[in-house]
Amino acid sequence: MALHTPSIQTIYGNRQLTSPLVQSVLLIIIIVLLGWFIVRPEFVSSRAQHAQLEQASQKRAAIENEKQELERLVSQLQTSAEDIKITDEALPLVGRISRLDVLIESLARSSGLQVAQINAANTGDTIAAGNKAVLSDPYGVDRKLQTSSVSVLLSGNVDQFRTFLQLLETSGRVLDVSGLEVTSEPGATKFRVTIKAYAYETGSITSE
Amino acid sequence: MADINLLQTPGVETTTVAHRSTKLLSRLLMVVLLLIVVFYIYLQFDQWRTNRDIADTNSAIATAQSEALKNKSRGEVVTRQGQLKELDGLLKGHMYWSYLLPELARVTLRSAKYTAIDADSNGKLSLTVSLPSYDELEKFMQIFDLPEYNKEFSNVRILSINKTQLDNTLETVVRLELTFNPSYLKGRM
Repeated sequence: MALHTPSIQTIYGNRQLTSPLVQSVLLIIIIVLLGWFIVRPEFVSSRAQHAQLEQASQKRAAIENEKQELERLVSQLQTSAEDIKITDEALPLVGRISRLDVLIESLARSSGLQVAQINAANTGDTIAAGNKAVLSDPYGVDRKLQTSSVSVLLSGNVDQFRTFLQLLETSGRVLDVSGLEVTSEPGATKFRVTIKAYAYETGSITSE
Repeated sequence: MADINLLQTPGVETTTVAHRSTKLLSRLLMVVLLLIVVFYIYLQFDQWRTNRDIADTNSAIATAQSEALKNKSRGEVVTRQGQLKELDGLLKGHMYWSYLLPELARVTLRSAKYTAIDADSNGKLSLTVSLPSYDELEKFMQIFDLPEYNKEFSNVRILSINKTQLDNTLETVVRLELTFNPSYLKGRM
């Protein structure tokens, strides 16, 4: 007895497969499987890519704005020589302590006080001169606020001392009095003032 | 002659309607399947386009960053910004000490004389005052309790009182510690 193998035509021609009901059921199964396992992951992936593109676009817009702002600031910087001069005087980029001593001595003389002593402290490990790295590129190094402290002993009268304080307060360089001591002695009044001065300069960067 | 049945049976009509409905459903489902396939192709195209846009945007970001970094004045701008920020902070906290002495004089009796003043920026003030008598000392202290006169000094503590010979006169010397309002000396520019 020969085995009967159904041909494609036989299957195709099967009334059950050509039945619209069976076709509909098969189509529903195909749609569900296709939708769930192939189209849905692609859709999720597409959404994620759109979100990524949105983020990248926002970043690009921010960078473009920053670039324009930089160009504006560079332009403003080039036309603000006078303001830069004032800023550099108020908070110098070089905080050499000897400059501060010169300034304080000058203010004391202008107010009529006698300078008995100037002691500079807390100079830290900042290089005072000859820093080749800074000299070659003054704006290419990291800078931060550095504080120096100077103690000054002066003698004179109260009016002269008040003038000295006013000169300190109105000085082009920002100077803060962190402590003052007045002692009245026979003959003269002594004033000890502790002054803090600031500079925006490099820390302990060494030159090569 | 063959028999002709001119009346259709109701069962045959129902079967035909059901057959047509399922056929219609089948065609609708075919259309849905076709739409899904089209949507899938669109998604593939959209992903390719989005990937291209992301690559273009990242390239533009890198170019803009590179151009910004290449700007020779950028270092100076960054330095000046930091300098101005620090300067602003310093000016806000700057104290005007020359206002302390007149304010102290305003709340001081004419007969009192300061022989030592020690002040720090935290508002601590130590004074050594010499007065002719204990009565004057009492008046001197009372002024600090009068809000119409004294606004900036508070918490006056007597550390010591001594009778001392000064310039051939017997003086009452008192050491005080008090607090002053540091904000009175700030922001007076």
